[in-house]
Amino acid sequence: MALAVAGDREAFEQIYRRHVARVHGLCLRLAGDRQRAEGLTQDTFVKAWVALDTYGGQAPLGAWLGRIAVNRWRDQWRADKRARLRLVGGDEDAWDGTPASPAAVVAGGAVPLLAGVDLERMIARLPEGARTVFVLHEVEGYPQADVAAMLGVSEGTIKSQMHRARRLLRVMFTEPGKERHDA
Amino acid sequence: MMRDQAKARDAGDDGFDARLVELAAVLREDGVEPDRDLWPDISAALPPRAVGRPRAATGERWREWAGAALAASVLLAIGFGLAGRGPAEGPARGAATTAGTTADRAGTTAGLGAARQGLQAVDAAFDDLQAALRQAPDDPELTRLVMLIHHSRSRLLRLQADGGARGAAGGRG
Repeated sequence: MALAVAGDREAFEQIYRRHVARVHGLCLRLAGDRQRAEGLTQDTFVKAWVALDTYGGQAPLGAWLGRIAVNRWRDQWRADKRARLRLVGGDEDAWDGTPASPAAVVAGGAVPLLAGVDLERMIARLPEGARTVFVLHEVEGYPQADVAAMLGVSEGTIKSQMHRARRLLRVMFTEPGKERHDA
Repeated sequence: MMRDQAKARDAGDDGFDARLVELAAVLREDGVEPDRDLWPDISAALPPRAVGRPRAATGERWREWAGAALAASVLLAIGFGLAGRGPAEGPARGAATTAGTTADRAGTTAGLGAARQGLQAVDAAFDDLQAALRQAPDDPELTRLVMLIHHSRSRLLRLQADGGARGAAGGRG
């Protein structure tokens, strides 16, 4: 770490190798496609290189890099004037699916079989607003108030999108393909 | 963890939401490798950094470094002055002029005592430098100062030894 702070690129490459999967995973979930995720990952590490000597060590390095990735993504998101409209309402209302009966899930005994890899695929299929809020709040652990401030929307919008995300994920899991038809 | 448990408790009673919360927390630590190696592009985009002058996250490191550097510069000047080599180079030049004049006087009147005091101060500055080096072990400027101060200490030790020998010879004569 000290070597990287002093300007050693090889030392910084080691930091990159150690953390790229975590950073790229986060960028992929936020951006929604691999090409944008790659660009965001690159931006994150370049920004980290520039700001490396401000890292005080209070948080794990991976979490610090994650915060940079989220900030970079937020800046891009804010620059997209239509993104907020999509989050607050608009197009996404037409995308919602009908929630499946909870009893169906329990009866099938399927819940324990839900694995991380399934959730990763399902998150990728969520509409942008629901995906964004679910990733920031549920996966990355940001409080709903922080997510609202970050995105410049009300907490009510965040709660609504969280509810939507959970419903859609349930539909995807219990009735694969149905949410596409509902969309 | 407590937050996750609380959320799971508040989630739906079919277990789906609870499982969702549990897996989401796991995903946070799970990575997804990019399809290609991004390092070449990142490396090409990295701007140059000011090598060897790390900005401290807190002011503590800079204060320590600056204090050590100042002490080292002044003491180097005294060391050179006592050894009769004139003012030191670079940042110590101003201090060296004053210190050298003082040291010339000291060298003619009480060179041995001044050398002893100089040695004590050099040792103290050396401790400061070592503390600074622990904060920034790769700092080339600190490394250079450690070498210079070590050199200065050797000169002072020689001066002290010479003065002691002269004093002993004078006492016999």
